[in-house]
Amino acid sequence: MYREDVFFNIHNLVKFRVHCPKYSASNLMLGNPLSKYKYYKEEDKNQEADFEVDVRKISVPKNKWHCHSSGKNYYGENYLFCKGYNFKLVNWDIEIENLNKIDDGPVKITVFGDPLSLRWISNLIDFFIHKQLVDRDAALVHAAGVLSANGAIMYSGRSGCGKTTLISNALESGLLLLGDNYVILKDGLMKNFIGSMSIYWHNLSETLSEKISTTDYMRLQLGSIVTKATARKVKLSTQINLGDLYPDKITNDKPFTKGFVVFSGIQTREVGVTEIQDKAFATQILQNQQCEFLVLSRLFYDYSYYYQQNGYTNQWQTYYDILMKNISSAEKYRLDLPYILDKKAIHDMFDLFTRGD
Amino acid sequence: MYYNIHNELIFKITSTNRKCIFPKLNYPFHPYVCKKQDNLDFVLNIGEFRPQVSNRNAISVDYNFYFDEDYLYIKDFEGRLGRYHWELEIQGLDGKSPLTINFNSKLPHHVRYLYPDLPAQLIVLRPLLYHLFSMKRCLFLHAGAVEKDGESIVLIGRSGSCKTSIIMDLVRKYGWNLMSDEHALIKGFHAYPFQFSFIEDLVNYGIDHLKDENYSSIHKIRFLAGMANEGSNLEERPLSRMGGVPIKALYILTSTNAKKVTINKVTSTSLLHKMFINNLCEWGSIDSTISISSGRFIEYMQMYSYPFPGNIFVQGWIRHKEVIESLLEKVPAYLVELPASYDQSFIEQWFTDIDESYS
Repeated sequence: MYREDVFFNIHNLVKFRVHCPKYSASNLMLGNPLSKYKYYKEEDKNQEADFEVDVRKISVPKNKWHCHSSGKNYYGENYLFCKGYNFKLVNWDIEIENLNKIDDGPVKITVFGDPLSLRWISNLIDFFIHKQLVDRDAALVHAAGVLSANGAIMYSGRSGCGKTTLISNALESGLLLLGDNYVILKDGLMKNFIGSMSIYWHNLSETLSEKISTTDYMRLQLGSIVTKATARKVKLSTQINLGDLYPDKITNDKPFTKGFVVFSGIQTREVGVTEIQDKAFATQILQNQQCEFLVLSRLFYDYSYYYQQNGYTNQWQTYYDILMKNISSAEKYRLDLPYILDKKAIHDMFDLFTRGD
Repeated sequence: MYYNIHNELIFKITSTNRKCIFPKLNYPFHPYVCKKQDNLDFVLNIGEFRPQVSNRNAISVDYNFYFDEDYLYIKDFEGRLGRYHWELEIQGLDGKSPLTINFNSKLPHHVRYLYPDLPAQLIVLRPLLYHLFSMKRCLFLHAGAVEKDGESIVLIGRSGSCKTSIIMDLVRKYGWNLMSDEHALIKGFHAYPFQFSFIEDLVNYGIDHLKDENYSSIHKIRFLAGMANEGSNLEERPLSRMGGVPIKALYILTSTNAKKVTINKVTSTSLLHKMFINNLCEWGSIDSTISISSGRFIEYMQMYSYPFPGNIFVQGWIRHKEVIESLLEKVPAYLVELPASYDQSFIEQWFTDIDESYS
């Protein structure tokens, strides 16, 4: 009764199921991390999933392990167990069964942690979505995606480079959306990945503030107070789901025509564009993706000490190859932006997107 | 203070000069203190500094990382609710000029009085050494080494693989000499003794007083009290001046749910991977002394290679693999699977097998 069981289906490429407690203190304060995938929620739950995530307490490793290290990590050919996995603010007990899909059925992930660390659970789910997509010859890319007159545009960069600013401005100027934090590339097409956008008080544009719910508005205010009170050390973002707010502005399966990797320089004053080659572009995207999944990578590096031939640490070459296949026909640029995006910079940026050369 | 590690790396650390209770912890490289030197590989300044970041057109990544072509500036924190805060600046990442590293941290009170300089050395210095040594074609491995009759063996393993227990028994019963317990320095086909902080002292203490590496709290307190008693005069401590010793074999220890010890000779590709990952993971694990994950430096390098994938300094991590490869060409390596709980009979079983394989 107090647990929910949700099934998600992303473009028939990835299907996954999540069991978790319905109510928790951190969800009340910061929003439910699962609402990120709301757009892909499916009512029919009796389908086979690619992976299942279960949030519940774990006590001891099942009798499937062969090697162990430091008394807290237990590894088998198809099994991983780690009690007290600690990295950044993450503190998890984590168990993964059918890790390398040697048996039939889904990969079963059980995870438990304190409320604060369970905020990272969407990063864990993203990682498995990423892995599943690589197996299906598609690539998840850490980038924002919008649709211009000429085709889909990818705007890739680490956090702080202006993805959210781009999306909120794209909405104002009536462009259609493909993704706010990730997009999916397959067969030269860009598929949408609508998650929840982490916004701060300063991201809130007029159109957005009219649309969002009162609870989210309160959360934003709380976040801005906390940020100010801690002198910008603690930054609480609020998750809003664009699939909820703008269901009519979302599009899918558009040919990928223009890609930008974005760097914000603290001394840069003007918007700078340089055309780059396939290899450089794919390398940047690959590095970005690896940085995005640092939390779990450490655990899988440790696993690969014992089992070198696993799909998790060896996936990056495949990922790179998939990227190279998908980007060859698109125009690719490196974009240097000022650290703080003023109106002029945003205008120049949009000029670049909509220019049909 | 100036340090010289086996004439391979010469560096300088300037510290906050605060008084501390455990100098051995605070100055983990004290066996390598030397006179003033000119050709320094790097300088580490611990204490407040004024970052140069505003004078450079650095790229901002994830709000707290600032990267330029030969420069990085990072603000970071660790621990529950960010108890440890630090800022780190490195100049000279072009691989040519000596590095200048500035490090400043805000620490909890107990750390500030017990060992104020230790966080800097765990977060930056140890992973950096691993990197700089491989730039000089040396290996700095997370491994133990013991010596007997002018030959040495190197034991590699993740933590919890009974490495220390085996070393203790080898020294106690079979007449081997301890060279290092955590950090093996290998140049060519020779292992060099390496002492880091109190780790080797702790092993020596264990050899005299304990059966295996599980220290009870009484023994921990006795050891710490002894260490605090030694006072702050670092110069007086004896230092092993042993030179390089040829390596007879490498052993990779894995603790498993098997009942018996098994030893297999392994191919160099799987071994290469294991040695590389072992270093990566070990210096990425949580340090029990101050609960800081010292692998943050590796994370910084990963982040740095996002805007500058071709940087020579970052590429240096790859050179590490070349060095391991050249070592593995000459030295035989074995994979040892051990039962999970340590028993002294392992060694007998193991070494009879080894003697057979040599003959």
